[in-house]
Amino acid sequence: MTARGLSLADLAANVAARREMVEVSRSLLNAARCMYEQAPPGLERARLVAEIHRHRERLAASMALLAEAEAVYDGLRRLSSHAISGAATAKAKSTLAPLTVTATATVATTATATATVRRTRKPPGSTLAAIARRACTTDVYEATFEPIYADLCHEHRLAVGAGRTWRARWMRLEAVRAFAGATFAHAALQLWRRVRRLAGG
Amino acid sequence: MPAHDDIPALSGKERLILELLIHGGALYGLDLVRASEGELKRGTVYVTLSRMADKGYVDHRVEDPPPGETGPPRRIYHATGHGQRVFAAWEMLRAQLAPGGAR
Repeated sequence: MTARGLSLADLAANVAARREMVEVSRSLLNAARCMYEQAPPGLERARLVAEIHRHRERLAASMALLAEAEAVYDGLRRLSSHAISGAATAKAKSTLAPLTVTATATVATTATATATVRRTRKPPGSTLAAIARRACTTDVYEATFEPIYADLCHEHRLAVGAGRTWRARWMRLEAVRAFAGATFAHAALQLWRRVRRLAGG
Repeated sequence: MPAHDDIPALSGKERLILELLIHGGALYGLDLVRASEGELKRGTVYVTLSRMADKGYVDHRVEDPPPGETGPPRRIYHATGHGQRVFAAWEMLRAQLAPGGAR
């Protein structure tokens, strides 16, 4: 059975992929919890609390997506088997066709909506912060880039909470500007220190 | 000529940050940017704050993250006693050197 190129196998694959997402989210949450248990009190623990909250939210979101995908798959599977049995074939077909189209649209819309929600909900500067974390020493990252990222997350959360979607998107541009500014300022400071050290012997 | 490396130096931005922290109490970095009315930038303020922390002018504490907060915890900065003394000394010096200032 297909409609607009979508088959039961596609829906089953969709369910399997989402189930995998749930497992990954659950593993990441458990890993963050373990790290929290082992971390010394202080800044690291505070950072891990934020990580745990984030993973918990992601797990809830992926479980909701899985439930939705399973509902669509089960509904179509039941209707499909009914049609194959031959009883009221015409009626089943007429019922099945619009539902399949709806399912196709649902899967497509869900994917688009998920991508949009992820883009809006993902804190601005998270990619840049991850790059900075890898590129810089821990001291430099914690002193220079992490506070910028923390402010951006805070402002982004306020904007999303107030429904100011454009402000939330604008924050992404602000993030690029802030990280670029911090990089230049830090590089200039390091250069100046090096020159002073060389000049001083 | 004697070296004066041991005398605490204060740049324009550092003076502004100390002034805001002394008069406004403990502030977030973003609050400093807003209160400076464009003189401090979001990207560079933490580089300056980090340098000031190295000199002992400011210190920070980490905010407890509210439930559901994503991202790292924010930092609240405040002027140290040394920072306040340096600021007071520089203000006095500025007043002394200003045209028509105290003799």
